[in-house]
Amino acid sequence: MNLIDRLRIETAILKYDFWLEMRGVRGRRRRDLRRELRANLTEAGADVGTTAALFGIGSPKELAYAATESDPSRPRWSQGALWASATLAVLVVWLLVTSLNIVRTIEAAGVTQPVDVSPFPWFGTTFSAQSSPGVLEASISPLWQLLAGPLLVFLLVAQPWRLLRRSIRRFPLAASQKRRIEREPGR
Amino acid sequence: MPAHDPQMLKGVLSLLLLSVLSSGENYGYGLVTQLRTAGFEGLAEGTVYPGLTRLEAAGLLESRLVRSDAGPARKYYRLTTTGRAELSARRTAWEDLVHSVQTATAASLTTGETA
Repeated sequence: MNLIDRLRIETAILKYDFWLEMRGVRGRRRRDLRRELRANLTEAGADVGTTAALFGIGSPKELAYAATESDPSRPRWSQGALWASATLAVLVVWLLVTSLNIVRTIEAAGVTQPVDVSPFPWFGTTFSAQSSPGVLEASISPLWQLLAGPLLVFLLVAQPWRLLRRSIRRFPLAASQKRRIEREPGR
Repeated sequence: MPAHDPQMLKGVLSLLLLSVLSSGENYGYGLVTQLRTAGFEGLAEGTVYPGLTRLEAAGLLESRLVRSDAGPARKYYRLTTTGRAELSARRTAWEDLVHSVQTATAASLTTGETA
């Protein structure tokens, strides 16, 4: 197998691992699943070629979801962290743009008194600015409230309450069939 | 041989995997090639590998790593005692289903001919 084929297989495994991580699959199990896929892809690549081998597994995302379908429910910490970071980035940009506009407005209006503005929709976050000739003071308080939105997003996406309802899904058809056989032992 | 209906295949995949493994342990791609040789040419690896993982998670299969000269270590699966019982239950279910389908289709054929 040449280097390009090896890289293509490793890229597929990385994507698979990413989606396993997004599913909240723990490190050791992820490593096992990765190792198994790598061995199977290497075998298939040697047999039918890397392109056919990669085509055979389909989308790494769907493969990761299918492989962990019956796993115990786990919080999606990584997915939560990703969305929380994105929310924080949006809020910081929003805060910067809003703050710059407020400062420009104060300077243009020539207001020398302190001005308080609430740039966020939730209660309590205040942006204060005071402009006097040669001096501009600006502050935001309390700053920790900037984290309230990302924290909420993190909790909603990660769903830590999944820890409370972890259970392995069984095979309902087989279970009902077993019960039927037990009821009719003479069959 | 015509391609099998993917939905029907999905319904019997566990039975197929358990049946093939009842004759001896095997690894993911080995099972794919074995099933393709048996007539399931269109069977995708992306269907078989998660199927094996699910069966193992359900306690119907157990696995061990075996070194391979061809590349990374292979993960070989074999049936557990629960897996053998499950296979027996699924075979019975499959025979019941085939019998019922044959009865129903034969009856509808007869009715269709007399009408």
